[in-house]
Amino acid sequence: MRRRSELTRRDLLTGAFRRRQGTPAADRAVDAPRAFSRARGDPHRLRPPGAREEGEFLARCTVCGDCVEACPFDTLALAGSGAERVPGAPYFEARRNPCFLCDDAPCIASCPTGALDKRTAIADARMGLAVLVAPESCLASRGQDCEACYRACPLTGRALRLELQAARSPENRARFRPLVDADHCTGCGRCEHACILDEAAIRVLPTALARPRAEEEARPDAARGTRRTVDFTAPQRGPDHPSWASHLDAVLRDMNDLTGIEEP
Amino acid sequence: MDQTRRNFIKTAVAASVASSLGFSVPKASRAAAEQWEKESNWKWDKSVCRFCGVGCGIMVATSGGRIVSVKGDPESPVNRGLNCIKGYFNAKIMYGADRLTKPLLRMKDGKPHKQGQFTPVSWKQAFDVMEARFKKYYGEYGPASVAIFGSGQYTIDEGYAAAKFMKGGVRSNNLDPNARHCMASAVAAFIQTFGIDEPPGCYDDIELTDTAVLWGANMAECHPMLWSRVIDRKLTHPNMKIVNLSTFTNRSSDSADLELIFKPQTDLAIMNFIARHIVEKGAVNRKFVDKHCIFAAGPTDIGYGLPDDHPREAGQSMRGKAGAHWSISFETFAKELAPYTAAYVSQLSGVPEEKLVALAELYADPKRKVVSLWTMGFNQHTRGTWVNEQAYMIHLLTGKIATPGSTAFSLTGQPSACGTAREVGTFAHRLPADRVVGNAEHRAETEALWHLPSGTLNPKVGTHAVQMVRDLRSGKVRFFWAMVTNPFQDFANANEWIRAAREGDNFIVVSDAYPTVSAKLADLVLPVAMIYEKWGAYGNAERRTQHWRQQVKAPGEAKADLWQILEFSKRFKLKEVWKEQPLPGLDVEGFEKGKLPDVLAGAREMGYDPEQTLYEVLFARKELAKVAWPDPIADGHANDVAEDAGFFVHKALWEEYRQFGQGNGHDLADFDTYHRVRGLRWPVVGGRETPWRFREGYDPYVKSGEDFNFYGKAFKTIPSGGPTGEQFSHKGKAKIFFRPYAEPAESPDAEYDLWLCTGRVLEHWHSGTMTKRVPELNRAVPYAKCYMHPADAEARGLKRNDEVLLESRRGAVKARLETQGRDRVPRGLVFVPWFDENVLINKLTLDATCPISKETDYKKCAVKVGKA
Repeated sequence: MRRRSELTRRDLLTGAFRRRQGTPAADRAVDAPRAFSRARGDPHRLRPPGAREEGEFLARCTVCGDCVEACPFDTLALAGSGAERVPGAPYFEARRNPCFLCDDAPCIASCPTGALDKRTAIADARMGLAVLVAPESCLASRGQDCEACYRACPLTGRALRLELQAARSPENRARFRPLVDADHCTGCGRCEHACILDEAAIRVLPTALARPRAEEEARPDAARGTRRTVDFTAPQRGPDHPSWASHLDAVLRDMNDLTGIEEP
Repeated sequence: MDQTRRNFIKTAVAASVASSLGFSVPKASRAAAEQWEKESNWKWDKSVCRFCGVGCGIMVATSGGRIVSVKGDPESPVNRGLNCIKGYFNAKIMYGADRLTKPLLRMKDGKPHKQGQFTPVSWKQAFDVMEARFKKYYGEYGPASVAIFGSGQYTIDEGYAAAKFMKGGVRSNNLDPNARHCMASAVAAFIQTFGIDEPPGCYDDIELTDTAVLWGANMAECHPMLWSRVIDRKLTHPNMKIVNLSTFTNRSSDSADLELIFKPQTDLAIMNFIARHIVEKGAVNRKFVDKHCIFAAGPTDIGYGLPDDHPREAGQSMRGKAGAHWSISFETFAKELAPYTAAYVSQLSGVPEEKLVALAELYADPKRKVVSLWTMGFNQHTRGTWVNEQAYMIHLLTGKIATPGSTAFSLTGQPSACGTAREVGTFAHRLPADRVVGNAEHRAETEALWHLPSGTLNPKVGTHAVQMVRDLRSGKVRFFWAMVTNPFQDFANANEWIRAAREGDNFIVVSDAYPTVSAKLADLVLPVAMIYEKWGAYGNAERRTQHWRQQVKAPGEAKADLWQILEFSKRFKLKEVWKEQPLPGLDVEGFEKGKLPDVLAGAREMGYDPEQTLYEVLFARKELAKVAWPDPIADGHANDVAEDAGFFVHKALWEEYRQFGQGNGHDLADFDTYHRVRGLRWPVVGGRETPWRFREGYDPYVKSGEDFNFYGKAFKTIPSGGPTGEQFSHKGKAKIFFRPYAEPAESPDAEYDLWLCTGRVLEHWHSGTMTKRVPELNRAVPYAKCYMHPADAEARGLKRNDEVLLESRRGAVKARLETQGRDRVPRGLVFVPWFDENVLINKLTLDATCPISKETDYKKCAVKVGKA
């Protein structure tokens, strides 16, 4: 286990803080060249594990930096004052430095305000969702053996599977497509970090973009369809609901309007 | 909601779904699933999709009196757990905001009045007015003046009840379905070719074939789950080829290996080229043809089904006898094919010769299995019967028929055009199980099964769909009741019929769930229970009959169509309908000219009392009324119709109906069985379904050693050599017809310089009554577009998304122009889907029909397009 980086409050306030490469020395040689390659598109900032819904999170976060200090991998960083709503709030970029899903989640344990919800077990963290954003570049999808993301995923075989495609490549190689299981993916970003392409074909998108809205899941009579399709929610009201008393008037107005029908 | 509870629900639901999908589920998750389902009171039951003829199975979950979930039925052999997006929203279709919940009657100054405003009335008032107006016209003009326009979306029990009421009760054959617009040409071709209706093969042919040839069938959008099976076959079978023949490039083309875009109507010529090629190359399966087929031909001056005084009908001497046919020799057949060379057909159709030959080779290659699939491009055609017969021609010539992986598959469009309209016989000329009103033996059999006195049934073919609205205009039909269909949006030449409905001395009743165009034009609107609000059964395109139970109650005062027919039948006494009735034009042996006989004496002999109602005699007869409700097969589900009637109406009618098919190739299983299995393909004999008909080893009606037996009985005795030749029988054989190319009814000219083709899109079903009430589907495709070639648009000074005016000789509509998108039309043709009540494209179409089948050609007429 490496040395924790020492980040003083002073460093933060002066903005003189820099992110450190927190990876074990053995991996550094491999990682170094890629450290400078981008993920496809602009980097997304992901919140630490256990972070509440963004508004609630920002309301609670005091930018104390304890979670950044607690992280043994130096994954987390405090944002600069630029475009952030709350300058200094902690984040990470999966491509640079993913979350390693420590069992004891020291970041969550360290948070004094509950901005990182203490009830979160690390496997329940939802920092984002991995999405195959460039299937056309993905080597596995093209029939060239690559399992980097699959092997990097800490929830082996549960959050990320390689699915055999029916059609073989023109070179008669088997094609595998990385398939993310949203029920298990924590958004830790190990897959994005591991992708061996110059621009990662799989990346973690923020929860707000990638997952169904929390309210819809919470609705009591929300229905669940097949696993592969979007949830269907039955309408709250039908013709037997009191609000439908006025619906008959609207129906009659429509029924008595022959505009567009009778003109030849 | 905190994380742990959310997680629990998600796991539980996932496990519930997963276990029903057959995946292995950890014990803990399964327990969680069962507990959650029990806590939330979800009850799953099997059912079928409301929409197309594929007939996908679905699972419906209800809780608290409402449907809360729908998913593809993993146990259905048809779709194996998948749904297309329309099927996905099967529950939402019932919860549209403008659902009709009360009968509505046009009234003025407190009295029913055609020019009045719609006013809510009670069911009793509704039936009072309906009865009064019906009897007014019936009393004065007889059974020919009343009509029901039924549907290929009727449930089987609804269609059966309508047939019994109209034919057995009021003795009118004016019962014709919207399937007349859909499958009539296919039916006529089946009957003429095989002597019996409906496809020989089944969906299993898709997984067994090497070739899928689509003729005028945009399967990708119109039979999506079948298409997914075709694609899957292509992905897993290296030899598989897909061919798409169409008048424009569509979604199905995107997965085709070979695409043939042809000029409208020239499919007739292309078929003959293929046959000629097969004959020329010696690819005729002589053994099969000699043993199992004869060759036939018919008249060619048969017109276009237009009114008598239409110029296109001048000189068409065989219009009234278009279906006549006789046998010819193989030599004559080959000679007739001679002119259809590759060069000629290529020049006529616009298809390059190489493509014609490539397609013909696929059919000719004896080692290649072929499935031809077609729908409306073939059926909605002024020579629809002919072109259907041509499909059988090439499959019969090569012996590629009724064999696993090789078949000519006429795809049915509607969910129960097979199960209801065709099998029950809700047509102007039909009776159940392929019987016809014109056959004395068939009438006698029907009268026996319906316990009617001899002579009750009307032997004169009634008014078919297109004729029905022409009769409405002329005043021959006065009472018009549309059920489960939207006639004033779906009939061609719509302006004529819209005027007739609003201006004539007539009474229009529409039973529907929502305010459709037809409902708005009616005098009386009756609110209906939709599919999962009633028990029912549908029969899909592969002869699979599927039953379901009621899942939830209908809203407000909406009632099942079956209930409406039963209630209306209570308003008629035997003495009113079974007395002598005027029937102008009746000239049939055994009947007095111009009238139906009084059968009350016969009725009394059977123990009836003339004061009894049609309800008591047709529906609540002792044998039917004793079928008790409740019944264990209901598994706790309600049945509003049965509770109202006091007996299990659906089961009683089913058990009576299935007797029509026993032993004559249409065998159906008993009621309870269908509630235990995912449907069965008839004939069901000894508990076993029949995947391939006419084939030894698969069809119980084919004896060992026969190999093939085309045992249909109709038209098996025909003249030999010519129309007046000696009658001979070809029992057990199928006919290979020669059919020539014929000009279309109306082609583009100097003024109306574009072809208009109409059709569907994936997201909307038919006239959009249901799918437009689903916000997601409506958002996906909010309005109908006019698809045009970009060069044609430029030549007319039009740009994409312009509002344009489309005009034909018959009417005009405005639409938005599209020059890209899913339908890439050639120069000289525009395509407009017909789901949109704001783009009533049928105001422009022509009511020309196939003269044999009487099915409208919705794919060809002449229009012009300009800036709106």
